[in-house]
Amino acid sequence: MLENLLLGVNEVFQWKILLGLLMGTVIGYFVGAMPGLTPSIGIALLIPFTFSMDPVMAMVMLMSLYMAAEYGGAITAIIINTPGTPAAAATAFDGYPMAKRGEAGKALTISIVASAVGAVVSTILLIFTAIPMANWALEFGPAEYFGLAVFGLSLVSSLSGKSMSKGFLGMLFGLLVATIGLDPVNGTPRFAWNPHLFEGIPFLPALIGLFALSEVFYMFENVKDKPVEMQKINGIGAPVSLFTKMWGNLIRSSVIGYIIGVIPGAGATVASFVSYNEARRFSKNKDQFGKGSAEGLAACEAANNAAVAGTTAPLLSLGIPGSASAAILIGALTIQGIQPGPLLFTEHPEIPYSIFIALLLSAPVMLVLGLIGLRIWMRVTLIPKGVLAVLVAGISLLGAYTYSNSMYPVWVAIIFGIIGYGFRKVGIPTAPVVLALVLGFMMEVNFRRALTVSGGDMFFVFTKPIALVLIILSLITLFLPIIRRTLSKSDM
Amino acid sequence: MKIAVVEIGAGIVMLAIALIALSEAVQLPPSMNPMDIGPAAFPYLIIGGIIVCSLVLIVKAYRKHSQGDEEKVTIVRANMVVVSIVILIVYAILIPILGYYLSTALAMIGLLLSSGQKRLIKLVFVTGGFLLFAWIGFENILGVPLP
Repeated sequence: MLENLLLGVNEVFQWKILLGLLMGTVIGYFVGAMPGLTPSIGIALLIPFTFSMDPVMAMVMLMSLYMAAEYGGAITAIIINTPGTPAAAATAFDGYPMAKRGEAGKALTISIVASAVGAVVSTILLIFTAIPMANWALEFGPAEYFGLAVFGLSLVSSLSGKSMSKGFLGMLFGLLVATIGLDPVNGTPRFAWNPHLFEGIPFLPALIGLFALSEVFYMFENVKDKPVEMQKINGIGAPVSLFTKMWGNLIRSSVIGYIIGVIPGAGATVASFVSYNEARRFSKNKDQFGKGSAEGLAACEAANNAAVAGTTAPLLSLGIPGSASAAILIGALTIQGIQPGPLLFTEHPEIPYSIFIALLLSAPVMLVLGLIGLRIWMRVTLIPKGVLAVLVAGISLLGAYTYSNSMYPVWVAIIFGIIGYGFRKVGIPTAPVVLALVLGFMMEVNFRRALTVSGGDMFFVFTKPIALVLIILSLITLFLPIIRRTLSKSDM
Repeated sequence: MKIAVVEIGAGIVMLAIALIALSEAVQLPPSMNPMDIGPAAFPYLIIGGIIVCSLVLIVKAYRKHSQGDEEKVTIVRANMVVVSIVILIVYAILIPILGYYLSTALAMIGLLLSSGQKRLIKLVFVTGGFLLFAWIGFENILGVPLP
C-alpha cells in the first residue's frame, strides 16, 4: 500500500496536476457558493474540459471540485441564509445566527477549518477501507456484479423524496433509456429508430441535460428576483482555543460523515443533519444550538465534507455510485476508458492513489483559498441569475458538442434538459434516472452472463452467497422506507 | 395547475411511452442461445414496471383530486421558460448553418435580452467573453474543432 501511496504522491506532485487541483478547488468554490448550482452540476459541466486530459489530472480536478463545492455551499448559508448546496442546509441553522450577531468572519473560519478536518480524517479512513473493500471484491463474478447493480438500484428508495412511485418511475425511465442501442450480449438493435441510437444514448450529454440545462430553465423562471441582502464581514479568524475544545466533536462528525457517505444513497445532506444532532446530544450547551452554536456549525461542515470521501469508497472499490455526483464521476472515468471497481486498484493504481493524495492535499488548499478568497466567493451570489443561466447554458451545450464533436449530443442534452425540467416540476427526482443510466447496463449484462455460466438456471443467485446477501440487502433497502412510511401513517 | 392533474398527465405520458416501447419490444427476435433470455426480456420487465408505477401514480393523483387537494404546480414565468427552450432549439438548428461563433452570439444575445439584461455593455461583455473562452479554451487549448 505504501508503495502505491508513494506512486500517488509522485503523480500528484507535478505542476500540471497541482494546477488542476487548484483550478478544481476554485471552480468548486464558485459552484458551491452559487445557490442553484450543485456539486453534481459542477462536475457535469467540468467533465467536457477533461476529455483530452490525462485520467489522473481529470480525476484530481473533478474530485477537488467536488470537495470544494461541498464546502462552498456553507458560504451563502452563513452570509445570506441560503444554502448553496442541499448539504449546507444544516449549516445555516447556526451559521446565519452567528453572522446576524456580527460574527460572520468567525463562522466562516469555523466552517472552513471544520471542512478541512473532515476532508483529512475521512480521506485517511478512505485509504484504510477502500483497499480491503476492493480486495474483497476481486473475487466477484457476474452473479455478484448483478447483485451489486441491484443493490445500487435499490437505493432509489432513499433518493425518491416524498413519493416512492415517482422515484421508481424515474429509475424505470432511466433503465428504459439504458436499453436503447445494440443489445450488449448478441448485438440486436433495440429501440434504435435512428442510426445515432445504435450506440445508445450518450451518458454525459444526457446528464448535462438532466442536471445543468434543467437548472437553466429554473433560473430563467426566477431571472427577475432581486439579490438577497448580505451580512457584513468585520474580520476573519477564530481563536485556536475554540478548535482545541472541539476536537472530539470534529473527529466524531468526520467519522459519522464518512460512514454515512459510504452507505449508498445517504450522502452529504443526511451526514450533516445526523452529525448536527449527535453534536447537540454530546454538547454541554444544547440550548445554544440553532442560535449560533460553533459546535453545531463545525459538526455539519466536518460531516458534509467527510461524506465526499465516503461516497468515493464504493465508487472506486466496487464501481457502484452512492449518489448522483458519484454516478457522474463514474461516467467521467468511463469516458477516459477506465472501469471503476476492484480491478482499478491493480490495473490502474495511479488513479485511486492519486485521488487519495489529492483529497488529502485539497484540505490545506481549500483552507487557504477559502480564507483568502472569502469576499470573492461571497460576491458570486451577486451575479445576475439571467447572466448565470446564459453562461451555464452556453457551457452545457459546448460541453455536449465536445463529447463527439457532433450535433447529436447537443440535441440529446436539450431533449434531456426539457425532460429533466418536466420531471422536476412533476416531482419525479432526476437522481434515480442517472443511477439507472449507470447501473442498467451493468445489471443486464451480468445477469445474462451469470445465467449462461449457470447453464440457464434462473435461480443462480441462491448458489452464490455474496450475490444472495446483496439481493437480500437490496430488498431491505428497498422496502424499509416503505414499511417505515406505512408505520408512521398508521401511528398518525 | 393542480398537482393532481399534472400527475395524471405525467402518468398518461409515461404509459404512452411504455406502450410505444412495448410495440417495439415484441418485434425483437429471440436469442439463438437457449441459455440466454434474449434482447427483449429486460425491456419487458422495465415496461411492465413503468405501466404499474404509472397506474399507481394516476390512481393516487385521482384520489388526491377527489379529496380536494389544492396543492399546485407553478411555473413563475412560463413565457421565459418557453422562450429559452425555443432559443436553444433554434440555436442547435443554426450551428451547422451559421457556424458555432455567430449562432452562439445570436443565441446568447437573445437569451440575455429576454431575461431582461438590456445594457449594451453587459451584452457585449458576456457574449464576447464567452466566445473568447470557447475559442481559447476549447478550440486552442483542448483542440476541439468547432463548426
